Amino acid sequence: MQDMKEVTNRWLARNAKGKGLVACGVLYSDQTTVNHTASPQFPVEALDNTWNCLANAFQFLRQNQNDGEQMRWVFENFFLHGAIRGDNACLGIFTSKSEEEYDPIVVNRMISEFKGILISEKR
Amino acid sequence: MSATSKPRKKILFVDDSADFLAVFSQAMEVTSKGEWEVFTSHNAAQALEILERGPINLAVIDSQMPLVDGLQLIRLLGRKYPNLPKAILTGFPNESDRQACLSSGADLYLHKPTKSDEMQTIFMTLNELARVDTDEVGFQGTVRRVGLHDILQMECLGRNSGILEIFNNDIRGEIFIRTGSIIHSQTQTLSGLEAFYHLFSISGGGFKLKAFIEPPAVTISKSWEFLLMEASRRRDEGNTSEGEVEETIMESHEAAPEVPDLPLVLPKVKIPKEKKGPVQIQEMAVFASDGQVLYEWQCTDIELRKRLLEFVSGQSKQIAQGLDLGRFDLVEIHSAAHQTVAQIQDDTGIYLEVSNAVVVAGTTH
Repeated sequence: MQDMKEVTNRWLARNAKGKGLVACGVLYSDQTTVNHTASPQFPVEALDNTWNCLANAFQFLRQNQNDGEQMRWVFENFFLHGAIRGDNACLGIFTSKSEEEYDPIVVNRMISEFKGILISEKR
Repeated sequence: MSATSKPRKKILFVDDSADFLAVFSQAMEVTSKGEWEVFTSHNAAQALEILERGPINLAVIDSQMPLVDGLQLIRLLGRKYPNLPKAILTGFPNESDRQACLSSGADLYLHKPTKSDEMQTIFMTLNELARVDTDEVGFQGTVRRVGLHDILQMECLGRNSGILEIFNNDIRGEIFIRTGSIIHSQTQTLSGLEAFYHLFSISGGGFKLKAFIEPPAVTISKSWEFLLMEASRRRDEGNTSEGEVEETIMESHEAAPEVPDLPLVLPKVKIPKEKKGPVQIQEMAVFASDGQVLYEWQCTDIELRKRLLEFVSGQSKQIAQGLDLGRFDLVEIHSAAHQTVAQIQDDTGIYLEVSNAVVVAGTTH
């Protein structure tokens, strides 16, 4: 578990400044979090709350016959992307909605890699 | 109000662009000089909620809206309100969309006006469509104010393709328009120019635009400008192939309204960045603010869908705590098998489940 967290933390630090990203973080199953924010508009306390909400949403889906493992919340000013992987670690990413800044490829790649860390570590 | 005053027509405008909706609906209401009572909604759920409250004479729907677009809403309304006249208003007209909308139940496919002077034509066209009595079968009286001249001119100027079906108690016929050229016309007994001039002369009937199909023959080659001029001349002179039809299209006591010079500044319409592939809707449900089911299609468990929307509504508020995220719109949930979309707007909710054809995080709407 600790190794997995370290690997994930290092990976997130490397990717936290991707195109269009304003904040990102991971909530682990032991309720610890790691956060990266590029804007004072996204304080750590608020991010912790957001990742908790994402985890609750995935839990709600599982309890209600929906096996969704990735979501995008669309707000007026920002997108919130969320993904959950097999060890119940939950990734959250806030991105701009500006077409010039937001690149869906970056987000999709991050989500794939986030899930891929678990698979490669299990091997 | 006197006992003889006409009831106001209830017109519903559906457009996700709040700016356009405000400007356009206000302009139309002013133009109607009190004849219209205008209702506006930003999405399908609000539109359905308004329709649920009472009868509407006409729904005017934007073609490009997120989640449930104009075409889908036209189909949905066709199932729930088959007699409701429906018009599509689009900023980005194209032939395939036009054909899809007309064949799915839209009565008109109109371009969004960009100049003040286009408002009168749009208003009169919509006003005629709103005259259709939704409780009666047929389209009695829809050609009284807006002559075929206006409709044909709009279609030809727009280089559209379609079939204009025209009918009254005695006559039924069609005018075929291909990319802005009138190429054929036919009635039960006439064909070609004779049919065209005859159809042009009728009054008190109705019309309907249908998707284009190739005519049995191309019988007309003259320019539409010439045809309209000649048809108007013949009509004015009462010189139709059959002399029994009425001469005037407008009723004398219902002169075309003078349209005030409106300061029309229309907001720019967003150009979609990419075209989505075909999406197959597997389930759909629309809920009113009080949880009432406004529309439901193939839902396996409607209570579960409602619960999800309630949960999403609550979570969106939780997420926004301490953050300036702006108004919540929707959440897309992706699983291996399908995608679920839950939209909450003004407390109405839409649940949509679609097959996995949409690119994950691939659109910016």
